[in-house]
Amino acid sequence: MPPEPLFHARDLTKVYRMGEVEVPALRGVNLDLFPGEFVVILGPSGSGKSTLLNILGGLDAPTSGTVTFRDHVLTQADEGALTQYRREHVGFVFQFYNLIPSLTAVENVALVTSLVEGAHGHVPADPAETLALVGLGERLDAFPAQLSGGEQQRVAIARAVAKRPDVLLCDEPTGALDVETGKLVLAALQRANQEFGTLTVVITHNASVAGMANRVLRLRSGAIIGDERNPTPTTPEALVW
Amino acid sequence: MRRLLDRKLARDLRSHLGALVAIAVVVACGQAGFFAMRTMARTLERAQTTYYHTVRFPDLFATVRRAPEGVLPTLRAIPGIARLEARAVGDVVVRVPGLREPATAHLVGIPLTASTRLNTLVLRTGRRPVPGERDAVLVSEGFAAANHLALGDTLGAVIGDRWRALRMVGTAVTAEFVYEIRPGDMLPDARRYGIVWLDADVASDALGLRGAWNEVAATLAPGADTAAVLAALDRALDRYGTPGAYTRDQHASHRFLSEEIRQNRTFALVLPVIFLGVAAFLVHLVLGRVVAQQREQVGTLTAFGMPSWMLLRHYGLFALVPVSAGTFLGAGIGVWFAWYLASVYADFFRFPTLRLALHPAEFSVAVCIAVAAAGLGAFGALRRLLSLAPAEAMRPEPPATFVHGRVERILARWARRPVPRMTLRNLTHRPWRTALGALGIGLGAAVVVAGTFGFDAVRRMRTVLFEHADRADVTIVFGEPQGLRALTAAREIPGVIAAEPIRELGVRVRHGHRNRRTALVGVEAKARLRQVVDLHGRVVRVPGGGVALGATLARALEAAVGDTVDVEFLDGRDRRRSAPVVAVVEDLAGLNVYVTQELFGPLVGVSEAVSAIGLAVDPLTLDAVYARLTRAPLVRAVVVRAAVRRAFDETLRRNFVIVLTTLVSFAAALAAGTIYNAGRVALSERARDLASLRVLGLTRSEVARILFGELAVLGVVGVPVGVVIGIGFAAATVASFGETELFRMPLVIGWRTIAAAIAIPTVAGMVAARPLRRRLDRLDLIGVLKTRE
Ligand SMILES: Nc1ncnc2c1ncn2[C@@H]1O[C@H](COP(=O)(O)OP(=O)(O)OP(=O)(O)O)[C@@H](O)[C@H]1O
Ligand SMILES: [Mg+2]
Repeated sequence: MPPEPLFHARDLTKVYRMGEVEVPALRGVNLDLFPGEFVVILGPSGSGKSTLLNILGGLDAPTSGTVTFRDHVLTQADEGALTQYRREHVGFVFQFYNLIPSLTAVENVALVTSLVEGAHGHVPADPAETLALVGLGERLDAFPAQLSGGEQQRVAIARAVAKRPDVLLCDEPTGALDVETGKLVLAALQRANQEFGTLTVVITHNASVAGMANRVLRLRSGAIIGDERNPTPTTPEALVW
Repeated sequence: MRRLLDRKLARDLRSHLGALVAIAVVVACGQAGFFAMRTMARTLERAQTTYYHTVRFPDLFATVRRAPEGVLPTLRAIPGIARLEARAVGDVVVRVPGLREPATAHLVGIPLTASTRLNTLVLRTGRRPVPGERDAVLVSEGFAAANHLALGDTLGAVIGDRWRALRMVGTAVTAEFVYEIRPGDMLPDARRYGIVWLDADVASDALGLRGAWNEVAATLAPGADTAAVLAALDRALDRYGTPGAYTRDQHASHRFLSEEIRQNRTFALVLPVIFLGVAAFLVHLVLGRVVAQQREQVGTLTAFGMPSWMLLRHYGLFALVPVSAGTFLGAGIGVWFAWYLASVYADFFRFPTLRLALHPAEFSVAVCIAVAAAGLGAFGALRRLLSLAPAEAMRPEPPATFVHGRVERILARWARRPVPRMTLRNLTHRPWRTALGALGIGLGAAVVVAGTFGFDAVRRMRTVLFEHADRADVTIVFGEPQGLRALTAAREIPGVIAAEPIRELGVRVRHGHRNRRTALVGVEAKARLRQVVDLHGRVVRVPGGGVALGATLARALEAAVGDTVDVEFLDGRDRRRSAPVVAVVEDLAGLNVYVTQELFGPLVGVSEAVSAIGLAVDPLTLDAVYARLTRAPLVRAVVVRAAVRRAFDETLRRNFVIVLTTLVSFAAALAAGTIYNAGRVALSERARDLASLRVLGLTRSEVARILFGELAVLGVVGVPVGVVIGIGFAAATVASFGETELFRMPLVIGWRTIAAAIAIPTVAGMVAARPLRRRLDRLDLIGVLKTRE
């Protein structure tokens, strides 16, 4: 029996209306994503990658079509239910980290784990241990402004994984980083994926990152034009940039 | 380029509309207060000057027990006196149609044949009595209005042993009774105290002063030496029993009026300081944020060669627009408010006309204050703008850098969870801004305390006065001290349950070269209806063996326990006694000398001197008792405690409503303006953080709690500080206005005042936070993910 998909998206369209002009961002996307997958999304700028990811993350609603997460129909959920969904099930990592500048590294992580504590038998990881996992065990009490970009992004990853989400959504997590730092960040993501079996979706402009995925989606003009499986993912260290 | 910049200005103004409106409202409050107070001061002062001038208000005054006409030429011959007129005056008890209790009329004799030159009357309705018309009187406008008297109505009174009906043929006002108050009262009671002018001969007969007079008024010749003239008058009048001649400064009506003008002037100074100070801070806050947000634009514009004066002009205008709008709005409201106040004042201060004195000076001063406030507020932001090198400015402002400071140790103890830590770090990150924000809200509370404590104090005085000091239902006041027979007679009136003698004699007390005119009060330890009490209503025991001085008197004489003072009786018989000071009493009136009943007789040198009698009366027989007393001879006034108290409460309530309405708006504007702008700026600075938190799964209300938590901390810190500032202001007010030689104002701040001081800014803040909540709910979650801070 094939495994149950975690996400089930049908006929997704998204049209942005800017005055008279209509900008189609997604045109009929059908997609199933499964637990434990490491998915890389590739595509030219403006192809709708972020739009798709934001819809999956409950940040945005499609113009038409349906998305279900397990048995939640996200496309029918209200603002409160979507917030609850993000809180309990989704971990986000963004290009610009989006850390809270007035909280230290460990507090940034603790803020998120404290949200899920006690929710439906959820047991989040220890914030300090999670930071150690991404190699920041020594910088727990540093403020974001005292960390490098790569370190900040690893704090963001620790923040995303510490609550043990069902899905990790990453929008250009290495976009603002140099090669070496980017690899460290990707390694942290891969480790989270392998250790906890978290479905991980990574948007990137860097085609070589596809090498570490076990599934690669290609978007163009708001449609999926390629969906390949990679039976032999490599480690980020082995990627040729 | 300039056109472009102007279009940008319009856009900037539009996009900060809420914040700018808040600034304008705060400015408007301050300016409205400034305009209203200054205009009132000017209006009253001008009305006073004109009035005094047209009716020839005298410079000097003196009263005697009784002096013959023949002494007047001697007085007129005193060098420095320009004009001098004498007359017979005195109080009588009158029955007023439609008024249950007896009232007191202050009778003033006016010569109907010769015209008076000083203190001329201003006729308001009807006519003057004609010579020979013995029952025709003029009634003061306020008294007639309060009692709804029409021309032809009659007042009943015992005039020279006979019950007479005095027919009102006209109403008038006069400069000596602009403020018409019974001597010794705290507030006027227009229904029960009024001036009645009548033919001089009739007045002399009624008051037992045929061929004599008891009051004199004079104007000074230019360049006259006031002190010398006063001394000469005192010498000439000494044997006729005088408390001493005095200048306008001691004239009751003049004093109340001048004090009112002074208070208006003072508050016209205080209000702009508070409001424009807060407005300057709000301008600083908003403009600072705008400049920070537009840093890159500014850098680009400078790089393209825009001169810095153009930028300064641009942001200067941004600050000036709300402040000017507030000034115009405030001027409008202030003029309206002054107009309204003038109508309120017209009931307390009786002028022939009270025309609003609008003066361009007020507007020029207001504009200067406004520009100063805008400049003060804009200074910091503009300085930062100018000091930026274009290249640096073109980069976005670096995000706030938080580091471990002293605050961390406190946080480790008190705030363990991330959200409170975030709040406290944000607040301590910019301590000055936090402090000023808290102060802005706090000043709302301060304004409430400072503005309403006076009512607490007056209410306390009312309680002490009417419930502790004086508990007689009715007090009969005699024109001349009586023997004990009067007391026996009072006890025999049906319905009188108890009657106690009150002994008060006019004296002059001297200590060294200082002296004061005051009353010597004989205190009976077993008295129940009239007691000596302190500021808090506690009964004070007056020790024997000497005199006890009221606190204000002791201060005025620089006398303390152990000193010896001279007591001089003012009945023209030239008697003096020395007595040691055995106590200083913190009493409400402050200018009395107390002595035990046992010592009173020996000190005064007469066996008995009952100046008034306090009565306890069976409530069912009140009307009969009033009727009896109205017709009793020798009685000069009948004071009904319940009626006086009712009038007092009524006046107080009316003023309280006006003051409270004003203060609620002022306090609300300060608190709401500060909260809204502090909130807007905080929201703008932290929109990205808050949106990120929403993305991470915090609910709308959780995120709102973070932002509002910060604002709440400002309030929680600011309001108590504001209450303390308000109390300080109240104490300063009591110190500079509270201790007159008539009454001492206690520093009392009631729990209701404190409650209002807390509630008004809190509610206003919550209302101001509502639009912030709407903005917060509409945060763009996706937008913040695309951009770097
Ligand atoms: N808020 C918006 N309003 C209007 N159009 C939008 C908005 N957001 C996205 N779009 C449009 O939708 C399309 C898809 O945008 P999306 O951000 O998903 O692209 P992307 O694939 O993530 O691009 P990039 O790689 O540059 O991030 C683009 O044409 C974009 O211009
Ligand atoms: Mg994108």
